[in-house]
Amino acid sequence: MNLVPFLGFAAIAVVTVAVGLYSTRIVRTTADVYVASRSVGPILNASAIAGEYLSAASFLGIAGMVMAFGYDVLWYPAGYAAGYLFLLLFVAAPLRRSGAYTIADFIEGRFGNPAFRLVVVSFVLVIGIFYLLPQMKGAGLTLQTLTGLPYWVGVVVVGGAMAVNVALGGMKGITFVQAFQFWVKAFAISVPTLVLLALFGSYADNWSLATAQPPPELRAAIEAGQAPGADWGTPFGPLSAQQGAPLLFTYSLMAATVFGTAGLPHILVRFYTNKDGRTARRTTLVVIAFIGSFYLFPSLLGLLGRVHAPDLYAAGRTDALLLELPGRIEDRTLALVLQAVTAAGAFAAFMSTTSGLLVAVAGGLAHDLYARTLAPQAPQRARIRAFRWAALIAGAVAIVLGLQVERFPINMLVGWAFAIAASAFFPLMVLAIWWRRLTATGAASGTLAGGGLATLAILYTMLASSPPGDPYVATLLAQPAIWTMPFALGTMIVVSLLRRDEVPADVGKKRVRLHVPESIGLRTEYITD
Amino acid sequence: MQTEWVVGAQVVVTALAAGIVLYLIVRRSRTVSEGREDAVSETLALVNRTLPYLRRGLSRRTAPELASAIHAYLTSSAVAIVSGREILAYIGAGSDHHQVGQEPLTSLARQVLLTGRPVVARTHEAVGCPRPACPLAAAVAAPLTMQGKAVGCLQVYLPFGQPLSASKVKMVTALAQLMSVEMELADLDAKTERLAKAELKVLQAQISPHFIYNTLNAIVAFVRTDPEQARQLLIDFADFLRLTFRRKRQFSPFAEELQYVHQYLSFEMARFGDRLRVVYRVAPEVLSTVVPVLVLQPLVENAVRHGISPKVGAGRVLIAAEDRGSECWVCVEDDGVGMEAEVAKVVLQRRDGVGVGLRSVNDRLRSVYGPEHGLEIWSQPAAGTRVTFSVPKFKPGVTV
Repeated sequence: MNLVPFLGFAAIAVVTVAVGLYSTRIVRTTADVYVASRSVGPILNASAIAGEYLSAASFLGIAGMVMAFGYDVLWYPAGYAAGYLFLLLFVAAPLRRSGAYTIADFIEGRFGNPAFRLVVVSFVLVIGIFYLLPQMKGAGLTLQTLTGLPYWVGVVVVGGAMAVNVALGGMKGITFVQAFQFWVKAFAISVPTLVLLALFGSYADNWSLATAQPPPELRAAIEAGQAPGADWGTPFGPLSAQQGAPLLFTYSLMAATVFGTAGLPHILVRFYTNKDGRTARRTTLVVIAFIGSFYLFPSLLGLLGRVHAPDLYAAGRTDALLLELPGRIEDRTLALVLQAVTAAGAFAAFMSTTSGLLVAVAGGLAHDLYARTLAPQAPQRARIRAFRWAALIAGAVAIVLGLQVERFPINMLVGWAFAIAASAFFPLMVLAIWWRRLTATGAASGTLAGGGLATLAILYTMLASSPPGDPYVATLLAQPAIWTMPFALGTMIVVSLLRRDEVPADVGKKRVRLHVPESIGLRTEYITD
Repeated sequence: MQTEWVVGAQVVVTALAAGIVLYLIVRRSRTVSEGREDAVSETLALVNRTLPYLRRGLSRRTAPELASAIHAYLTSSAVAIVSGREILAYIGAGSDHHQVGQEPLTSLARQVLLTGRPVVARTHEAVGCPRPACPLAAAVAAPLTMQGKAVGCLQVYLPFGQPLSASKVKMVTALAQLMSVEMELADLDAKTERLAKAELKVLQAQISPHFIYNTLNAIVAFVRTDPEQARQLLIDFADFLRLTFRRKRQFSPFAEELQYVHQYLSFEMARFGDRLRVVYRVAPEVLSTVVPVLVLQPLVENAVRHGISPKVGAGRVLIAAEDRGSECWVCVEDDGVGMEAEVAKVVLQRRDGVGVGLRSVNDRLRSVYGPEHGLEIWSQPAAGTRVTFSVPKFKPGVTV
């Protein structure tokens, strides 16, 4: 174990807390500073959203998965970035104009019916837990790589620390902290990539080494069947062909990642910080630029990893590529510095996403389940206590389940969380915003049907000892979004049309609020009669 | 204000009324040949069907819906709802001459309004329609009462030849009672809302007397020493007053409340000079949270007037807002003279002139967000006072 990378890891924790404390301690003697800008600007908020979004899956997982499965994996980052386009086009501005904080808030406001909250919250919990698992794996793996301690130590220590932190009031100054962590991650992935490219030769040289003329060590791994061969660099390669129906797999993966973004509970709450719908749109546009640029780097690293660290294939530790690769350069000092940088980035990655997810899950449990349903009259102290317990419970669940997922690639787990989000919440958000005849019954049954089927299909794939024989069935179970999302959409439409008389009477009023641009200056007193 | 009381009363009274209906039916059906369960479930079904209409009060818009629900359920030949001297709704046979908006023609209606008691008519003559060709033959009419006075009536006419069973009479009478209760409650709701609005208006006017006097005095002091400053203050003051009186909305973004407080404080700072220092510590995440209008300024004014003003030497007011997950936490704190803990405890209960601003903020917070979201006051003599509250970031109906 070397102390230097570990220091990078520790430094980022300390600096993050300092940034949070500093930003909440900022005191002014005039309100102008706040009031002039009135809210967080698009660039700051876009940084915060990107900071919350780029998890261990993006920081560690994609590079590792590109190395393990080849260029097929690029559909993941492409979809992760393209999802914001759908968010921009269909959801961001109306969601902000509604004034809602969470998805459950939005749905309650749209239908004036609190009963539906529990359905929404149950999928917030499912998606949140699914998304937490890969973060736990990232934490376990990072500590394992840096210190040599067993996998479970990292999961328990980091998971426990994050849960306690959230329970004790969470990260202060969340917007600044998340924005800061985005720039840490951007720095920690771009600089090492550029340095490594400079040392390991050009992209083209490495490409031919990875595909046409593999170096001896890589060739040995390919011949031993540990690493994919020439199909590594081609479309419909080892990832999508896993179940035998590569084209279907690819489309389904695209559906999950592209539609899933608009249904991620911990991302949607960030739009509340925007001043209005217009700035929400601008923010989303900036997020696309930030995230799109970020994803250039992990794919390059995957290529470098295949050529220069093929021993990770045999060890089954491709997810640790980003932490291992800097160690493969000659200059020991530079290697240590780069390792410290990537370790800091990895820590920022699972820290920001984990705390965002824990807040969303604990909020769902404490706010929606406890305060809204079980004990509506609970005083403030009881609500805070409920939130603390919920955070600790969510952390414990994440740790226990996180210990079980060591064998799944980090990024694949996140892809599944996206598939559930795409099936449960994307149709819900889009129809609730754009279709006036949607009813609460229709929306609830579609959410339950789509989200439930996607969850079951994925659980089956994760737990079944052998996949079904038919390649199409196996693919549809392993990547369910392509059928569960349209199924949810169809269920919502059919049930809503059957229960036509349940369309809320004030739907027109609600839609005016969602869609009229702020510049028109429509206020409640003009809308209500 | 006191919405929880109204809602509580509503629940109790509705339950009572439904209980009375049930009791009457049960007792009735013991003696009448009709099956007891049938009568009970029928009445419950009728109440269940009409309750949503009743909830919305009795008006020209809701009455026809209510009347047709009753009409369809009782398979009557006609149903009429009369309020005062006017037919609000008329569904069924005879609607050619019994028209909505007219005075009721039947002597039956007049009799009920006069006596305030239910009347049963078994013949055409007893119904008392001046048109000889009128098909109405048998009827039950029950009064709708408000504060003990008959203000309208519910009339159910039965098809010719159908026996007027005792259970039907009871059913109509009980339904009319239920309608009366709902009308009173709807009236109470409207009164409560009017009261809340009136209180907001009072609050808007409340700022003026003390504050206008003090501010004008402060400006007077500047007139000789710094005329340019005095001119600027007067312009700002005029702007501020206009803003105050133009704020008719119920809710506004927290950022706007903050700006309003800032404007207000600029005059207090002109008055107090170096004696008043104001510090803002506001998390940017909560600037877009929608809060009841004028929720912050009374707290700040209180801190200045009762905390800093009586204090010897300089004082500081802290205005803080924090992002707490799904809630926004707000705090106004001063290091002024403070008060005894017992006094602080009863400030929100007092009904005399002191602390009107605080109480109004407290009442409005509780009525909008529920009793657990009211103000919390902490105070200690010579140490200062802290007033805090927290509101959810989103609540249906609370929008700008």
